[in-house]
Amino acid sequence: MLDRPAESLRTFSTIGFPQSRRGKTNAAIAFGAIVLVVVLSITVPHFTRLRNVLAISEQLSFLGFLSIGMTFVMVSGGIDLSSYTVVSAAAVVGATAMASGTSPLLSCALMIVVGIGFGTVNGVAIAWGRMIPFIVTLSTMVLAQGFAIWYTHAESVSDLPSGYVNAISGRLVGLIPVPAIIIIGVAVIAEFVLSRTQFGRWVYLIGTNEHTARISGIPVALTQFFTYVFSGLMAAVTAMVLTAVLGTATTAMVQDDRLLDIIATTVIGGAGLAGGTGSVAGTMLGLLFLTVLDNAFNLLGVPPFIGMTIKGFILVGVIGLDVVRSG
Amino acid sequence: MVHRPIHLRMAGISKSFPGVQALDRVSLEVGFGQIVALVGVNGAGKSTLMNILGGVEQPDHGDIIVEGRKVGLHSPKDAGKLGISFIHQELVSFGSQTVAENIFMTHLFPNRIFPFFVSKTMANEAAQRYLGLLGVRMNPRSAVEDLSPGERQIVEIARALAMNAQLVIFDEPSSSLSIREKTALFSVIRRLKEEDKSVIYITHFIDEVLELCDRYVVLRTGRVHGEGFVRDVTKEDIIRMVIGRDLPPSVKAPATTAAKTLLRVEGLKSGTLVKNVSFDLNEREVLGLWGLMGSGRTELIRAMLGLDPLDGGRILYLLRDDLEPIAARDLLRECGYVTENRRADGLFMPQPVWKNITATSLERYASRYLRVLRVGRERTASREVVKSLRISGPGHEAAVENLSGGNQQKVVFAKWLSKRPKLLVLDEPTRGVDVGAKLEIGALIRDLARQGTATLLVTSEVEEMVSLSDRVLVLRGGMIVATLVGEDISSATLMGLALGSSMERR
Repeated sequence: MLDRPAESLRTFSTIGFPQSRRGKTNAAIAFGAIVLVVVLSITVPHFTRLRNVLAISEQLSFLGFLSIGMTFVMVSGGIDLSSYTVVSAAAVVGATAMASGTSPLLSCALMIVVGIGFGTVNGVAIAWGRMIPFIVTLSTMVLAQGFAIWYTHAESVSDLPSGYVNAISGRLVGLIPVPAIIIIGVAVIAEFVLSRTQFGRWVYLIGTNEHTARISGIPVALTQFFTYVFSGLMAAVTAMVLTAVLGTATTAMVQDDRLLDIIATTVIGGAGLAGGTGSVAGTMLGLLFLTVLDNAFNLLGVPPFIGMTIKGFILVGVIGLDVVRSG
Repeated sequence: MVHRPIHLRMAGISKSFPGVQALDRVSLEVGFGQIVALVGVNGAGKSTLMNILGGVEQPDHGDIIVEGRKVGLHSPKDAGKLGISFIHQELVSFGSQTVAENIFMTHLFPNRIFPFFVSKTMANEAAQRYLGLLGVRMNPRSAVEDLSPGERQIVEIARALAMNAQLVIFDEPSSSLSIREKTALFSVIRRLKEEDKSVIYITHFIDEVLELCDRYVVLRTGRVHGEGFVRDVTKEDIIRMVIGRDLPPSVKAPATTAAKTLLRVEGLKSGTLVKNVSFDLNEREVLGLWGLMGSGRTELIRAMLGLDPLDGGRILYLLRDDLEPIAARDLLRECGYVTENRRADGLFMPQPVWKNITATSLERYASRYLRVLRVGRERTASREVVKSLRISGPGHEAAVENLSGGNQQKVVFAKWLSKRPKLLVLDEPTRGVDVGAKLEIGALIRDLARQGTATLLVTSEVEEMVSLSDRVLVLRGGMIVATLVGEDISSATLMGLALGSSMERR
C-alpha cells in the first residue's frame, strides 16, 4: 500500500464493485420469478389467460401496500407486526362512517387517521420510548384487533355506497383493476423515496448502524418514527382498497397467516432481518413470486394445506438464507 | 542432548484472492519456547497467514510442518488438535458466566456422585491451577463481565491452556489494554515461554517487539521483508522494514498566539466520572487530554457532545463573532467526532465507501424541497476526499468492511472532513491502525490544525500525544490536575503522571 501509492490509487478509481448484495438478491429473485412464470405458463392450463393475469395483478395489491410499509420499517432495522390488524381497525371505522351516510372521501380520511394513529403509537414508543419494536408492535397488533371487535361488536359492516365500491373495485377501460394501478403508483413513489431521497438514505444508514447514524448527526428517532407512521398509512390504504373490493369491512380483513407472507416478501426481496438492506423494487418482486405461487396452487387445485406446507418450506429457506448472508 | 524438531515451520506459503496476491512464498519458523513477533501494516498478509495456520483458509502452495511432520489443516478443529490456539483481538467470552465456566467452556467436569450434573468445585479448582500456572491470582467464581479487558484476555489464555495449547497466537492483544494490564499480559506470555509453549505475537507496536519477543518476521505486501533475532536490530531498523522507508521528522507547527478561542467549557459535571472540568480550546490548536482509562476522558467528551447526560456546567462556542452558550447536542452537530471504536459507532461497515463519507453532510447534496439526493455529486465529492487522504483498497463502491484497518480509519476522517468542521474531537484516532497509516493520520491532524481547525485529542499512546499536542490537560478522577505546554510535554512527564495516578488509586 505504502510503497506503491500511485498504483493502488489507480486500482481504486478504475475497479468498481457494482455487485452490491442488494443488487445480487434482486437479480436472483427476478430470475426465480421469471423461471416460475415460464414454467407455470407451460404446465398450468389457463395461467397465461388475460383474466388470470389481471386477477394476479389485483391480488398483488392486497398485500403489496403492507409489504411496502414493512420494507421501510425493516430497512431501518425494525419490524411492524401490527399493520395487518390495523387494516381491520381502519376499515371498520371508515366503513361504519360510510354506512351511516358520511361521504366516502371523509370516511377514507378517517381510515387514514386511524392508520396513522396506530403508526404514531408504534413510532413514539419505539423511537423515543426506546422500546423493542417486536414487543411494541405485537401489543398494537392485539390492540388494533381488539379495537375493531369492540367498535363493531364483532359484526361486519356492509351497505357501502356503490360509488365508492365501484370506483375502486372497478376496472379501468373495463380491463385493468384499479387496485393494480394504485399499487404500481405507490410502489414507484415509495421506491423513489427510499432509494433517491435524503430520508431514504437515512433509513438505510440507521438500519446499518444506529450508533454511527446518531453520531453522524442523522435524526435517528424522527426517521424511525416516520417509518412506522408510513407503515400505518399503508395499512389505511389497504383498508380502503380491500373494503371496496370485498364490499364489506370485517374484524379480520387480512388473515393471520398473511403476516408471515408480508415479512417473507420483504425478506425474499432482499431485506435482512438486521436492517440496512432491502428495497421496494425487491419487495415487489418477492410479492410477485409469492402471488404467482399462490395462484398456481389455486389453478392446479393443490389442497390449501399442502400449498401452505410448500410455502412454509420456501419461507424457512429464504429466512435461513438471510442468516447465512449476514453471516 | 536429544535432537528435537522445530515446533512449527511454514514453508513457501502462497495464497491469492481474486485480484490480490495475499501471500507470496512466505516462510515462518517458530522454535519451542520461542516468542516470534509477526509485524506488518494492515493488509500486509498477517491475518491471511494466521488464518491458514488456524485452518480457516487453505494455502494455494506451501507446506506446514509441525514438530517435523507435514500436516494438513482443513478446519479450525485440525489446528486445535495440533495444539494451535488463537487469542483473538476482539475477545469472545460469555460475560454472565464465571471465569471457571469460561475456561472450561467445552469440557465441563461431571459431578462425582451425579455424573449428569457438572461439578463447579472441580472446575473452580482446575481453573485456579491454570491461572496459577500463568502467575495470576483471580477468583474463578467471579463473572467475566466484571473483569477488565486485560483480565478477560488472561481468562482466554487460560482457556487455551486448558485445551492443551502448545502454540498460542496473539492478535494485537495490547491495543485495548492500559499500561499496567499490558505489563501483566507480558509476564503471562513470558510464563507461557517458560512452560515451553511457543508464541506468535502479532502487533503494530515496535516497542513491544523489542521488549517481549525473541525473533521477528516482517511482512509487507504478502512477502517476508526481514526476519531475525530481535537483539540484533534497533527500533528504526524494524520500522524501515515495515513501511519500506524512513520515518519523517516531527511536523509540529510553531506555537500560535493570535488564535481566537473557539470553545470554552465551564465546570462540566456528568455522572461519577466527570466532576468539574473547565478549559478553553483555541483555533489552530491541538489540545491533548491525557489520563488513564477510567480517568473520565471519554466520558468528558461524551457529556460535552450530549451523548451522556450533563449534570452541570456550561459550554460556550464561537458563533459568528462571540462565544455564546450552546447546547451539547448542537455542539455535536458543529463538530467532527472520531470515536474510539470505528466498528461500533464510526462507520457503516456494509455500506460503500462513498455513502459513509457523505453521511455527515447529506443536506449539501439534497435538492431544496423534495430532498432528492444528487448521487453523482456525492460520488465526485467523496472521490476527491478519498484521493486527498490517499485511501486505498478494493474500490470506491466497495463496502468499507473490505478495507484494511488503516484505510477504514481514514474513511472515518474523510466522513468528518466532508462536513468541514471547525472543531474536531478525536478519541483514539489511530487505534488498530498500522504504522504507516498512523503517521499519515498524525500528519493530517497537524495539517488541519495549521489550516485553522481546533482539535481535542484523546490518545493512550504517549508518543502520539507528545508529537501532536500543543497543550496537554492531565485528567485524574474526573478533574484536570495539570496543564502541560511546550517543552513540558514529554513522554517521561506523561508516563510519570499516568503511573503516579495509578499508584495513588491503590
